Amino acid sequence: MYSFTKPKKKPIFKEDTKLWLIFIGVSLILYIGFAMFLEIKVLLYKKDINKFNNQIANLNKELITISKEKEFIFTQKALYENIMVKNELMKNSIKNLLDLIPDPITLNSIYFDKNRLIIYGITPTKEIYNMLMLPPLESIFTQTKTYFYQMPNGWYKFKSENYLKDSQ
Amino acid sequence: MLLKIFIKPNFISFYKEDKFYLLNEQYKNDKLIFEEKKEFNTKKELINYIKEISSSNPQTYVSTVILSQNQGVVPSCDKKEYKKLGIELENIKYICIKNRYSFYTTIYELMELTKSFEPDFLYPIFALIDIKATSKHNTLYILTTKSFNFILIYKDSIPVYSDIFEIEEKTTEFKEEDEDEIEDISDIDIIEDFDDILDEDIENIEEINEPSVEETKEEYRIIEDIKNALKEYYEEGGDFIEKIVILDTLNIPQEIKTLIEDEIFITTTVQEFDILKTINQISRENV
Repeated sequence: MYSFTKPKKKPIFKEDTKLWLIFIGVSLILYIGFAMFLEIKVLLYKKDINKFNNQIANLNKELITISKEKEFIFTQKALYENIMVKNELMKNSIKNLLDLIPDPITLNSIYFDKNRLIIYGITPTKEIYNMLMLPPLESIFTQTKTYFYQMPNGWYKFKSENYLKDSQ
Repeated sequence: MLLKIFIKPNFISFYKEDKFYLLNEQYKNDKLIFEEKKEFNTKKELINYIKEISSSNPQTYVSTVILSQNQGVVPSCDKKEYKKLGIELENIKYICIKNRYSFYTTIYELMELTKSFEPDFLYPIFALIDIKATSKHNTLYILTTKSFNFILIYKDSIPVYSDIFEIEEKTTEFKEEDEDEIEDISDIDIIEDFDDILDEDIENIEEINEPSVEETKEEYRIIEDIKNALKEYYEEGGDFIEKIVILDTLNIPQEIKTLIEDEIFITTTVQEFDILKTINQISRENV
């Protein structure tokens, strides 16, 4: 009002102040950007940490399972070895037993059980059997029972039941 | 705007008389926080000062006032009124106030001032009177400066008459000379003028307290200018003036009030007037 002229547009800041403000503004943007970048990185690392923690937990579980399997396998192995040893022993025992069979005695069949041995065979006389066959059996087994059946030709069929521990 | 709270605009007002007078005010939230008055002998010094302030604060508003005879008031905003008064519209620029009256100045004056100082606001001197005028009915305002006496008469809140009286060059030369010389050239005219006042108001002789020749001349000139303006106004058919207000920038002695009342019989008041402060006041309202 009252003026013949209109005022020129006035900037709020001086030119150098503007430059400073732009500089400070850019710096702030960069600072905030970098801070955000770091924040995102931290978040990503936290996510990774969680992921790895889960993996560790899973792997620990797997490790426990594998340990159990290992224990089972060791047990199996021990059992296998035990069986192998027993079989070997049995094999040797059978071999020894067969070596013990005297020539006049003929074996028809042998039943081999866990702690029992049943032998079917033919012997010319009871005495031969009692002399040659019985002593080694009695030395191996705790209990020995022998049943004789006379055949028409005068020889005997026999059934020898031998028990390692408790007799049935 | 929130930023406005932090902005501290500078308002620089200046005008030219015998030298350049300048006022630099700085405001914050409409409170004056800094004020500086300056006087410059050359235009270059003034422009340098303005440039210095403007570069340190972009929010600097420079304002000035037209202190010449190339301006006036028309009690209308109608172009026809201008034509009726014989004012050529091609040579002037006018501003309409409240759609009731207008102030005008010549394009030449406008160009001269804007080219030299590039002010943000350029006011007619009558605008300063208008903003300060409180009584706007049958009131005569006279603004006294070293070079001119500006007269504005109001009727029904409209300035209906304006006149500008130039103070003779002689006075300026007179002031610039040494005091010793003043005594030497105290010529007959001044004494005669002084006698006139004495004749008309003998009772006030003692109250005058031996005024200086310079002061007496100023008072005489003011009274003469008021008389001439009133004469012309009444001749044009103006209503009777009930009040005279002197807006004083020269520190005229208060005795002038009695002198005028005794001579012209119109109630007179003398108000101190600061041109620069008033300019800044209008500029602040405009920003």
